[in-house]
Amino acid sequence: MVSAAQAQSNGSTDATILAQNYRHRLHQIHPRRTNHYSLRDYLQFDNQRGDITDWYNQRVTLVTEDFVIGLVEGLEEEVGSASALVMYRIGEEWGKRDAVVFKQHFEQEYHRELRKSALTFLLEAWWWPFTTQGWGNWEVDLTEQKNGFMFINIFDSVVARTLGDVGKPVCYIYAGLFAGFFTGLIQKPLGCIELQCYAMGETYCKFLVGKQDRIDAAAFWQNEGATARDIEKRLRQGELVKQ
Amino acid sequence: MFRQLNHLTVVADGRYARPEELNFLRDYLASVETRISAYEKIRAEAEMMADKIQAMQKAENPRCFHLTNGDRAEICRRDLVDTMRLCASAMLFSELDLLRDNFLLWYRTIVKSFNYEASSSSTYGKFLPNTMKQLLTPEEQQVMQPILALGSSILSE
Repeated sequence: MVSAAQAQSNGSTDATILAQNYRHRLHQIHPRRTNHYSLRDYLQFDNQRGDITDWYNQRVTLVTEDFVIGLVEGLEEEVGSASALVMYRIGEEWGKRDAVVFKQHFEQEYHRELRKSALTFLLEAWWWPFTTQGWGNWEVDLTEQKNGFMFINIFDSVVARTLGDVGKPVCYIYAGLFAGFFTGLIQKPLGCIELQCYAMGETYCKFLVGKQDRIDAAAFWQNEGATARDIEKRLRQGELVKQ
Repeated sequence: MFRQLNHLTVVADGRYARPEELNFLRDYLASVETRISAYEKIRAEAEMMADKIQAMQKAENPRCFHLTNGDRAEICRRDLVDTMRLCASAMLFSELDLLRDNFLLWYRTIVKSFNYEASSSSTYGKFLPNTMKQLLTPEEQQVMQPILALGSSILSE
């Protein structure tokens, strides 16, 4: 079971539409509490109204694995091979909007500006709600940040776990989400590609986030048959595609 | 404890609970006086224990609170005091699952994000259990030990 907060953009500076008259009671009682990521505390289940609200008063929907399969396969049926790009774009838009929402939440919660906070810390603050809502645990490798790229490992991707071993990367929505969020965070265009996937028989999914030339190079090497490890090694050695 | 109670209400719905399904309640109620006394001791001594633990950490490594963004001894002390309070609450209610899900797993990622693993390891793996041992009676230690072991396993390297 995975859940998705219904954060939406209305085109104004406020990128969320909060559920009307919904207030997370525990958050109201403990507004400064930061360890609230157990499912029991993060989500508020209102049996009488029949709805679920997250810590930030956003309506949340629980969906089944059948829903995920339906979404992926339905899109494939509608648009064919373009479904990967569509999923990536959905994730990218979501990530861009989430960067705006996250900035508001973070600055409110920790009483400090985003740009003055340690990157590793704010990234953990960003991903924890996703972990709680079933999108998987992550691990970020920032060692190559100065060279314009980084790696993200996702353990237990909801898409890959649901689809099973299909022999190709399937987590396009995650790749788009990372691209959109980091683009919004640093205000520079970034892309993302999934280098290895649980759905290819690997134990976890690995993503490369970086400037477009890095992503293009990785995509080229991947098409040539390079493994995630090969691509990672080439990037760490500073190699780009020979023109 | 809460999860066990919750589980019991679900599995025993529509029937009486079997004797073995009530054992956890008996065990808890038999230990409740010990738990309250341990809780009260920790509540009274938490600030002093935090000072003592930090002094031991500094004696071992004078720069242990120098993180990437400067000396963060005060923040580490605040976290230690909070951790002790949450551990004491978990012991009082015999509620390990909530402590792990709501605090320890999250705090581990914060520790890692500030490269604070070595100090966290000595604090929660060594100094906190040792200091608690000096404070509590053997019976109180027995109810506190699972909590400290859980904290140590998650927050130590």
